[in-house]
Amino acid sequence: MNARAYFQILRPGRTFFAVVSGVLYILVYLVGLIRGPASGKLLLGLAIFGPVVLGNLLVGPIHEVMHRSFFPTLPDACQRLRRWHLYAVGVAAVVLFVPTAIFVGEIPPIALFGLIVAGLSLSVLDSQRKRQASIRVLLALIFVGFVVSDRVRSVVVMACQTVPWAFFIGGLAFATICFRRGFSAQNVRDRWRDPNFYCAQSTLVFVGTDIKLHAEAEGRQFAQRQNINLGRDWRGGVITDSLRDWRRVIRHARIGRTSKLKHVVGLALSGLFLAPLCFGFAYAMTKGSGGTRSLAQFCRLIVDSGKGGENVDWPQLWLLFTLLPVGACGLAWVAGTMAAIPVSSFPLSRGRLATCLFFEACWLATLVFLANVVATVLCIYATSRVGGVPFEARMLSTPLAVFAIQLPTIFLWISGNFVRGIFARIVLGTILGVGSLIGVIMVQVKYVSVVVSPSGLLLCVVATGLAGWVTWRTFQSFYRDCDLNNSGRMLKESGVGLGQA
Amino acid sequence: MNPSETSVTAIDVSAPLVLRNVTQCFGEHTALRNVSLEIPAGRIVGLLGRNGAGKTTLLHIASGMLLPTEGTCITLGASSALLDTPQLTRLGLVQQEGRCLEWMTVRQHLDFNASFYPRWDRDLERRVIEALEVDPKRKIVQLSPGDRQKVGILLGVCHRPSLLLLDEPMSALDPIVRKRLLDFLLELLRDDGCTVVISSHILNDVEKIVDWIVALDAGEIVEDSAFDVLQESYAEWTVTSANGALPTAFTEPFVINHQGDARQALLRVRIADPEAAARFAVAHHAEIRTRPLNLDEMFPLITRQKKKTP
Repeated sequence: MNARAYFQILRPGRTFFAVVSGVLYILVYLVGLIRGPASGKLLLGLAIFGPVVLGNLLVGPIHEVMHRSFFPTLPDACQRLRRWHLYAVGVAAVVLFVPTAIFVGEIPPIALFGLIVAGLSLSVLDSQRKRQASIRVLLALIFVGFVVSDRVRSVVVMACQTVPWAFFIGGLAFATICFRRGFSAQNVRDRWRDPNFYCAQSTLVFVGTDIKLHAEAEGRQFAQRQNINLGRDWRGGVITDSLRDWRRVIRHARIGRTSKLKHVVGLALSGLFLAPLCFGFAYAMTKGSGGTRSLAQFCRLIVDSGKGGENVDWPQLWLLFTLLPVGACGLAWVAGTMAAIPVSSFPLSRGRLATCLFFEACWLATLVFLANVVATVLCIYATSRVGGVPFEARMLSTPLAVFAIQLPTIFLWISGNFVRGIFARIVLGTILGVGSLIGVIMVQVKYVSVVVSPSGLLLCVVATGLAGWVTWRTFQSFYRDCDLNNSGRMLKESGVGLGQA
Repeated sequence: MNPSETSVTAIDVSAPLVLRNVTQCFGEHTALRNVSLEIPAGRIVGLLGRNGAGKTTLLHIASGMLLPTEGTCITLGASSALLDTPQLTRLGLVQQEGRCLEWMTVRQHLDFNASFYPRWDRDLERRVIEALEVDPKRKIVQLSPGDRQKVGILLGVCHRPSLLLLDEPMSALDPIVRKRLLDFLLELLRDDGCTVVISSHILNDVEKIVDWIVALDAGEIVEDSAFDVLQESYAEWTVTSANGALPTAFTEPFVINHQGDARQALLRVRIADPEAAARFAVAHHAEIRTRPLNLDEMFPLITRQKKKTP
């Protein structure tokens, strides 16, 4: 294997693009969310997150090759790839070390180098999904530690200052272990049996949808070969000609034997995930911008905002009631779209299939949306308790108003997936996205009382009905002559990896 | 220590592929059970068996992609667990559903693989590309399953391996390309003395090139014989009774299968003794017409011997 072959699989242009994206991603997190001095952020970014992300991007293409079935029989391939990756890690370590040593002066350079090398090597072990999960958990823990307290940073800095050589030697030793294990013969044998592995360079925007479609099709076949129990046995009794029965069949084909209880728990989790996240994000933003008020004061301001009051002190709060409905709308859109793609062939006419899928999509999207509304109401209630303010219905004015105007948007977004022509879909999606965002902000600024009035709510109901009708027509039109073997293709062409091919 | 890494003494390491008491388990399922096999150099072996018989598992073990649960596999003189550059440069593997790097073009993939082999034959590569009608400019992901299989063949043979393991290499190929592939395999055998193990269900094609048959059934070897010997021993007899009194069942052990009535019966037999037909005719007062069986017809007779009904 020569340099040309190595760069052929590394794809330097794509790797550079991915690195730049990763850097921007890290910067947004560091600047937006992490408290404390700039040196702490630089330490986190340059010596911990940066190396891990960069190491992941560098080793991804190598892992991708190792996950293909032709790899184990390539002579000396593992050793050669290990050697080339070692060179790459060396170069990356030097490139990262120079700015880190300049900007993070509080830690001895030797310790910084150890940290960087360890971070760059960590991802060598990262091939199977369970390991990826463990690395994500590790990063999340570090991240949470830094967000929650400066003490973690202080401990790291103090340890580095006290025993810098231990960090250097430890980092190199860790890297050696990673390389030995990551490129071992056993690891090669383990990897090729899971061929459904794609690195960032194969999945980012510069790769056509054909790779994505192929990956999904192969993934499904792989899962079937692995004899994964998909729970597809039908135990729902005799199917009559009714729409309700066929909706049950279509749902069963999609989610297998997942019980109603699991379904409800899943829906509840989708709500419980978003609302607290948005509340926490708003709080972190407020703290990050130098706010000195307590949590109780923050909660009282949220309650005031809920009533439709203005927040002069902490104007970022408008973001909370923008993120929530837009996020809920997005989740409902995802759920509805997933339900709108048939996962197999059914003995139904195209018209009846479209009707079944329409109701299925509406049902699931509405449930997800309602789960988010309920979660938001619960969060407002909890906020009022923490803020020491008695709960009253008026506190729900703003959230209910912004949620109400999002309902028609969900249906239009779902129907937007089924418009023919990728350009039309992108334009429509953009218009709907920007429009709903502007609508949410405008309602918060001026029209809360208008929307929550009986006439305003009636208008929302009518608009939702109209949007539903448009969606129904779009479904009928789409399923009249689409390729039923590949009805999810247009979603993937738009970059949405949902449904089944 | 892994069983496959144990000493390889007492095994003829000059043979390209030797398996000794190999057992392979996947959880509770036993894919191969105590399989022993020795394939001498220059032989073209047809590896037959029904679905799930263990053919692919055997080839994966032979190529070192899988380590046997028990037993020893010696590939090109080394334990399959320890295959290294000297062995891997002489080993070719074409897989049934081999996965390549989908984003590469065929040309890029060939160049990538070629960079690992000092003996990669560009001339051979060009000829195989022409014979199999592969477009080197197309991306792998855009190829049909048949074309992907052709790429798998290209990647497996262009370094002129000494041992070529083919796992269902023709399942997605059309008859014209299949014939070209068979011709090419024969050429490879003639030029390089390559040892070929080919697993396939397209038996009419396989029988044109193989000189040895290994049949697996439920993870066990049920046949390990020269193809010529098999052709001589398996036959179909059309037995016509002179007095119309053929029995409803024949008790002779060489009769594997029979259908017919008291006057005429069609028997599938496996005989070692060429005089058996004459003795049988005398015993049953019948006239016998003999027809040799092809591999397609032999296959159910070979594999039904131990297959358990699920």
